[in-house]
Amino acid sequence: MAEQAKAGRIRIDPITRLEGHGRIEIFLNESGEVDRAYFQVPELRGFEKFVQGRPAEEMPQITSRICGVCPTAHHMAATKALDELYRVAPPAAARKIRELAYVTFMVEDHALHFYFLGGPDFIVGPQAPRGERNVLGVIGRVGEATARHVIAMRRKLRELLALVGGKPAHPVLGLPGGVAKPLSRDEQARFQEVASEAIDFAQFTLGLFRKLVLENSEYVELIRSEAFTHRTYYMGLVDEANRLNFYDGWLRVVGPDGTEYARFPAQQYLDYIAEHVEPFTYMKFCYLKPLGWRGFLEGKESGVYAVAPLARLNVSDRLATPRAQEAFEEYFSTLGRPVHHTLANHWARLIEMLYAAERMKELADDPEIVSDEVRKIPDAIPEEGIGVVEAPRGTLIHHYRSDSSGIIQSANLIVATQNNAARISMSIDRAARSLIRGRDVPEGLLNMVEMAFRAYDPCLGCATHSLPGSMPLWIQVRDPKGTVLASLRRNGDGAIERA
Amino acid sequence: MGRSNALEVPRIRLLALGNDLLADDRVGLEIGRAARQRFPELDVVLTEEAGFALLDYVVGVDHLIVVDAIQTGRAEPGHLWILGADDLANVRAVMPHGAGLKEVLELAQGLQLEAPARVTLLGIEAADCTTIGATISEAVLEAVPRALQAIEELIRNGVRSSEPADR
Repeated sequence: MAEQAKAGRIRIDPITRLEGHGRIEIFLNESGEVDRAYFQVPELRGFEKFVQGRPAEEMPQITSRICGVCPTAHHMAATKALDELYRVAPPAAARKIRELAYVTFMVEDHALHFYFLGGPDFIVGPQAPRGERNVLGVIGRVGEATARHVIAMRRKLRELLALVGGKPAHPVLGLPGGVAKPLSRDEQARFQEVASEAIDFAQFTLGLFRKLVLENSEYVELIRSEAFTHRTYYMGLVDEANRLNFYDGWLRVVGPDGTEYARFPAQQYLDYIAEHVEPFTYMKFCYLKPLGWRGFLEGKESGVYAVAPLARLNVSDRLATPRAQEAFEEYFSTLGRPVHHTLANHWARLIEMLYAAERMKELADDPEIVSDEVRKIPDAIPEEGIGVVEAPRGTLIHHYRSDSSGIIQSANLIVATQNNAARISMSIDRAARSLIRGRDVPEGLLNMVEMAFRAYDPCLGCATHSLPGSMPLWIQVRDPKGTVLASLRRNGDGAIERA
Repeated sequence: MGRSNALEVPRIRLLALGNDLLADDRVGLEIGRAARQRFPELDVVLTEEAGFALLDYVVGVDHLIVVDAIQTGRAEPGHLWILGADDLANVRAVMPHGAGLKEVLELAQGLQLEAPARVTLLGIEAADCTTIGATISEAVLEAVPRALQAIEELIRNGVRSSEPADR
């Protein structure tokens, strides 16, 4: 348990210069209580400068290469921004092919997250020994056959993505006004087949979640606990009937009471989203602009909001597919509405996976998807374009301005984790307040922090795409002047170091 | 991807990780490209992917050599670290793309997916892996021949490469 750090000792380890850790800064007030805790992640620099002067049509390739984990989301947001930059609407078949590829990607990403990233927390369990809270522990609990099934499903989904978009790491599917090639009937048949398997797989996974988590009252209590609850606003994409959509629609915001606060096209994002900067971190915290920044606060008066699965279900009136709709109803009837429990993200993610699989089947079954008409050649003078998608980790916005020959003049990205940054910090703060007394930093804090941020599944910049167990997590406690009073660090092997 | 042949010649793959857009983070890919030229017989896989996407690239060989940028803060930029799989857990450092490699290898072992019996990590100490579009530092680039030398030593004893990975 807690060990008293040496009073006033400042240690500057060479490692402190490094980025790429989940890094938590805890500031104490004059009386030694927690004043504010932040979560810091490394930030990629130089994006705007790098893209200035490049042809706009390179953006879907450049942005998808920045992130080695979800290239498909950046590729799609960039492609949609180009549609608008060139003022060209893709033909119906192209739009459907894009959405088909996109939901295929969502099934894959959500499945991997549940089993192998969130799995150590929920499948293995928060109380399990540290040595079992890893991928092997997950395999032990779900059985080798299920784990093999996950891997086989993933392979099939990736093969489909490669069929339409080339290498998953370098998608070449989207072009302004359409897609690179039509979907053949053979490819359509393959999508139909795998989509049916994906639906079964998603239902099986939800069943597993019910059995392992919902039938365990300790888990349900943990999900509902105040330690992991924040009453904030939520944002996500919905279709014309306020149903969840990953690929397109309107950004809808609901308040802490679950009622609609705003509904707007992504083109108006600057009217609704602003970024707050704190003196001790380079992270930018998004907030709802009309409400203003009032601090890291919950409630109706605060502009803090969240994105990602929990938020997306909160902003949806219903889901567009039958099985997912059933699961959606069960979720809200169990947890109430809206759901403010951060850990419910894991459940919401599985409901989304089922929706994505069903949507995949719907699109693959659509006769129009094999139409040859997949591209409308742009002829307008380019100027400005904004594209939005729901990335697995939340709302992703790309915004470009170009000169009349399509050369990028400026670019702005709002990535999922920025939208969630304030709420993530609030979760860290909550954990810190409940566990820290003065310079004491108990090891339990590391677990609480990990559980919270894994539910958000923050994208930690290129440098920290770590999986559970390998991510060095580092907590520093500072006095009001910023002097380090204590530090606690867990390395990749789970060893804990104090300074 | 077949098993080792009767002569027990180990199949080797060089898995080069990195990102060409991110300053020193491109060094792994530079080494991978140079290795392709220098060792035409060697199975070399270059990827900018990370996390579980690496699963396909780590299986089906006996000896996996991974090359990536690394940040330990304990050596000058360009320093070449040669590590074994056991070191992976203990590396107090950031390997931008290899982060998670440990879990991917565990997953391959846990599911008996032909995980490599031997893993060697070549990490090149990097100074900057987060500035998009920045050029690679001189010192880091100078590590390329040293890394090739290390690869040559690893594969020297008449070993054959594995069949190319499926990508």
